[in-house]
Amino acid sequence: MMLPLAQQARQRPPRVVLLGRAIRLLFVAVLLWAVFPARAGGEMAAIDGPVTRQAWLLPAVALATVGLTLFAVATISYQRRAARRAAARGRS
Amino acid sequence: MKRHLPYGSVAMVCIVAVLIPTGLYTLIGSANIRFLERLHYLVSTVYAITSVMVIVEAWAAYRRRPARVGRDRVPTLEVPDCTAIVAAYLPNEQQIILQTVRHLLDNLAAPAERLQVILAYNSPDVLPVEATLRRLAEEDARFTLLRVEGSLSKAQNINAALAHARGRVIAIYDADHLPEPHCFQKAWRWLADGYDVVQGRCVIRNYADSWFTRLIAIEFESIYAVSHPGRSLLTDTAIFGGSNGYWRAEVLRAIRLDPAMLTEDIDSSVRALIAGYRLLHDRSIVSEELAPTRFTDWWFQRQRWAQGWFEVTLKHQDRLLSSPHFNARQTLMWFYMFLWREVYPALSLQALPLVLAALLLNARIGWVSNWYFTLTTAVTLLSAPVITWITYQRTLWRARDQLRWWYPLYAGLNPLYVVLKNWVALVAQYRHLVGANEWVSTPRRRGRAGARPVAHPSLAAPGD
Repeated sequence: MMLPLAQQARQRPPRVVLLGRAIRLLFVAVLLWAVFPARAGGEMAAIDGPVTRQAWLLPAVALATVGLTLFAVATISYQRRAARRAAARGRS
Repeated sequence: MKRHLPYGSVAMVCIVAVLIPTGLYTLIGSANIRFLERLHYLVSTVYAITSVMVIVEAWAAYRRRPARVGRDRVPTLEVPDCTAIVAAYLPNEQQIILQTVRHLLDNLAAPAERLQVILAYNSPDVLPVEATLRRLAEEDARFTLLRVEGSLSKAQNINAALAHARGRVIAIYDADHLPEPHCFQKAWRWLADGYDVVQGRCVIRNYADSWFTRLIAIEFESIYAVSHPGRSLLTDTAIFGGSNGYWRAEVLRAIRLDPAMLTEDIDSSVRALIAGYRLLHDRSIVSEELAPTRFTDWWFQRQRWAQGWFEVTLKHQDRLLSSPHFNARQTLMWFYMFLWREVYPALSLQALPLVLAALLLNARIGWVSNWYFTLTTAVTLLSAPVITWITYQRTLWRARDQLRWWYPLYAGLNPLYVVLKNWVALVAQYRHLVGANEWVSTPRRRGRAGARPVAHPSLAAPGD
């Protein structure tokens, strides 16, 4: 009953292919829309108003973000290595 | 042995999914405040999509009325040979296993010559209950006791039992399940009609143990009486949930269960779907099970489920979405059930860093001045009462009577419960990505109501 994958791909109905492409395109469009917003525009203003004027805040946030990112990367790679070592011990 | 929650993983999720995004959003938002607005639209839309899906499923489940209680509720179709396989990790389930086996042998309505019950179990030690089970197997030819040496999983136990199964229909149960007497007849209606797997409805019988088990009982009603059947009615497809599932024997032998997967049931469902087999959910096939009674047990159970779903998504998503056996509606549903289900916890959680970033930037969030946010918030807040109300309408009489006032409480607590489940899902994803694949099996404890089944009038346990 199971078809080879290549054959499955050939047999995909066009509607399903179109749906898959539409979903991917939508994802990309939404991401671009969110990450690269227009600086100004007649949108329904939902978030607005004075961006903080405290000079120390942004450098502090930047420092904390970089610190946390480095900590997360180091922890994740340590844990991945530990898991690989444990798996290798389990196999031997 | 006392197990601790994975506090380290919870802290890491907090860092990766909340604190780092808060920093990034603050920095980007300081350069362009519109970024936060776009993010707000995105998060609101994510909540709204899920809430609309919840409401649509619930409405589909509500519109289809349950079968009338009466003669037509019990199908008269003659069943072929049936095998019930009970998979057990005996140290965890030694207190309840005799009750389950006796229930299957004494209460199932299948003719004696056509019923086979196999207990496929593994245990590192020899337990006293094994002697009793052996005696039972000697006394009753319908019962096969199968100790699976070297097995470490439910999948290995079931695969081993397949070699001994004689039935054309094979039901799979966990060790705490007490199915209703006519389960095989009801499942056979669909299997004889061309379906390959039928998933029944699981209800909680130890709901009276605590306020926590009461809420889990309502959650299960909501899942098995509303969400699963709603999806099945909308798209004519379903998923095998690991227990109270009825397979055409040749299909189960072809698919088998993969012991390497954390949720071998979801994996087998997806492989069956990709191969073109047809699955269906029938909420009239009721089986009772036990809910975890401790928060820690609940956490580890849900973490294993979430990590297993994540594993299946990573492994099968592409093949699932490109399967030639689905129509567009089914493809969309499986996209929602797998990929969307996996990204939803992370995306929905972004509401928190968004608000924190706005606070840091001293920016104003117009919660009510924007019609889109008002609308999406209303839909999101509405979904919990809607599904709870429909669950109440479609629930078994026992749950309606006993848990009446817990329904509004469940509806009120639902947003918090969803957030908690999303946290568990993120912890599971995190653990999977760092390669932590060890899992803890859920212990079955006989609670105050756990010792005797009370859910269904026709579900009388031996001795009742």
